[in-house]
Amino acid sequence: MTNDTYTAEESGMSKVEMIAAGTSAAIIVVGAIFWIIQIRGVMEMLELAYG
Amino acid sequence: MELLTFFEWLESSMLGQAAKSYGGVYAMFQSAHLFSMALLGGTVLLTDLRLLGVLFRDVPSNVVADNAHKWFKVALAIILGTGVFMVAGVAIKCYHNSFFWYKMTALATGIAFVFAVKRPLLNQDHELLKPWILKSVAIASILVWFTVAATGRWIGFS
Amino acid sequence: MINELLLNFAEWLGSQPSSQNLIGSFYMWNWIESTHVLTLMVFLGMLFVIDLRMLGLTLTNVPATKVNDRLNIPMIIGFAIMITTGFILYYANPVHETQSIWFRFKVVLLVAAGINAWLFHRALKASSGSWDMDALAPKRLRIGAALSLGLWTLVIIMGRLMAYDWFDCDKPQGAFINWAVGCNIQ
Repeated sequence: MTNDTYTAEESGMSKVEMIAAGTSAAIIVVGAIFWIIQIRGVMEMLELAYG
Repeated sequence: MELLTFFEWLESSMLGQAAKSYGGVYAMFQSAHLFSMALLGGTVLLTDLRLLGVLFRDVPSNVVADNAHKWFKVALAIILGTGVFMVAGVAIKCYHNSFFWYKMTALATGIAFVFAVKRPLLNQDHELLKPWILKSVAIASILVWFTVAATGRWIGFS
Repeated sequence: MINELLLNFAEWLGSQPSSQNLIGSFYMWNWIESTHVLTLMVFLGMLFVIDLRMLGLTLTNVPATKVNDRLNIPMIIGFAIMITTGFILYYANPVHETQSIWFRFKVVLLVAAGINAWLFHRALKASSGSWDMDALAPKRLRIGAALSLGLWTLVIIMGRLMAYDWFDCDKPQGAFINWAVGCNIQ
């Protein structure tokens, strides 16, 4: 383990933190879109079935 | 169509035939799959709820995350092993099931996220990391593993 | 006698319009069933961590009663969701579940797990403090934790087996099944 990521303090974010922030944001956005599409699909289906 | 060939081979393989022929054995693998899903979910929630400041606020989150990760790996190993067996029995059906592919995508994302992003981050002293990053990681982690489990359950329904 | 009573009750329950709507509804039933299964991660997930702590297998540097007290809350939330969805699922298909050998085993195991949990918490309260920082809990609690892991594993197995129709009453069954679930009552 190297500790080159500990330089965070003034420079803002370390590399590991940046990667974590980026991937987390991507997962949250894609995940949200996926579930919104799923829920809308079901709602349309139910509307077709019951009006 | 190479991928389909693989799924056809898997289903006709000895593993696939065993999974097809022995209903009781299949049910035991499913149960082990569910058991390890509970354990995996528990360790994920333990870590992520700690990172979000919901649980164990007075215990260092490094301690919680490290302990949970050990059992996460055990659970993941059982899940993958039993999962392969479960797929083998109905491989061609899985190939044509969109929720199977959603699940595999989420699973691959989850595993890559844990080992390439989350662990390298959490191996550091959490006190020195930005709280909002730890919280985003926790939310992403809960979301991705929930998606794996939920789309997995839906394979059987669609 | 008991089988007859249970079956009569199940038939009455199953004749309710809301019960029939539920079993006939693709999405509603599947969502409730999925919630039931996915909540395993909250309920048993938390319980497993508590049990593993008692057995000295995780969080050994955190006081055992602290692990128990803190994780109890999410565990009970998970349990409440599981038991509620479980009752709804039974309500949706009462005759079939009443005559399911797996469901009956599951109920018996649930009762056993409940008694074990009660004894475990009583012993935990009685022993509080003295051993809290030890990696291993006292023997009585370790046995309780191991029993808890075992019993809940069996509950999962029974729950999973409920989806299999080997011993359903619409097929000819042997004497044991007829005696145990009352397939032959008319």
